[in-house]
Amino acid sequence: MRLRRGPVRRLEAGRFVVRLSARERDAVRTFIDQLRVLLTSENPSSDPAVARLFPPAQPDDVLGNLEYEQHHGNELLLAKLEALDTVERTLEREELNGDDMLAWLGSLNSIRLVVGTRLGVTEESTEADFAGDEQSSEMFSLYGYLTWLEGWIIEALDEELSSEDTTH
Amino acid sequence: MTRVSTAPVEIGRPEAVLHNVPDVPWIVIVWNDPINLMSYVTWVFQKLFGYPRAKAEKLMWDVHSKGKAVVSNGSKDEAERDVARLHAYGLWATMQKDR
Repeated sequence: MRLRRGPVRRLEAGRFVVRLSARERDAVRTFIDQLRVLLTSENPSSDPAVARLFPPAQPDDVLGNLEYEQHHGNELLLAKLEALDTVERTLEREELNGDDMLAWLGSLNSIRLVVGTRLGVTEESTEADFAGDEQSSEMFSLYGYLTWLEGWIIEALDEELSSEDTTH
Repeated sequence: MTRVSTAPVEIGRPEAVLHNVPDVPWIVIVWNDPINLMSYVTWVFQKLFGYPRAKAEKLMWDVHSKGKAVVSNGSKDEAERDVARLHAYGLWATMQKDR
């Protein structure tokens, strides 16, 4: 049996436990608030880091891409805002259901995409790359924290997915 | 589920309805990026497409090592829907005609 000391754990189908310190929850709340501000700004995609959340479906076809944005742009934005709301609403809870957990996963991943894009992280990035600048350095360690937390959420949701496979 | 359409129905050419002309096939490509976690990408492929873990992992490794992988294909509408679902999960997905 594996030792499980992570902050996120699957109890049973559709039930998850999230154990975070007050400081960790505050950090998540700060990011949630910041992402909401970015997403509700007048033209979110004018910020390249936010544009990363809305990639072009057909980069070589301007019209095709416009059509895609008309079909899906708003729905994608609203889904992200709704997920942020869910995380905010459940931030103080220790027990989450499956939908809440998915909203946490999606929101943390969106935040990592924006922060990572802004920092210009690569697959090889280490703390040393950002040591020269205090703000970037702090941002990179928070990015690292979010990566760690998301990893545990994925592990718990992975367990949920495997159990669904065996029951269907 | 079936969607009820209120658009006028053309009844002139029943053969065109019965023998639905297939769309040109489209493919959906996921591109490598330095932020999405490998475990996450694998999980998304399983969750969205119902792929078995082995297939999802193989696709994830293709994305990671070759820079991209074709993850699904179908009509233009199906490809567009898959791209939107992948974008909802933050993956870098595009679609193109399968030439």
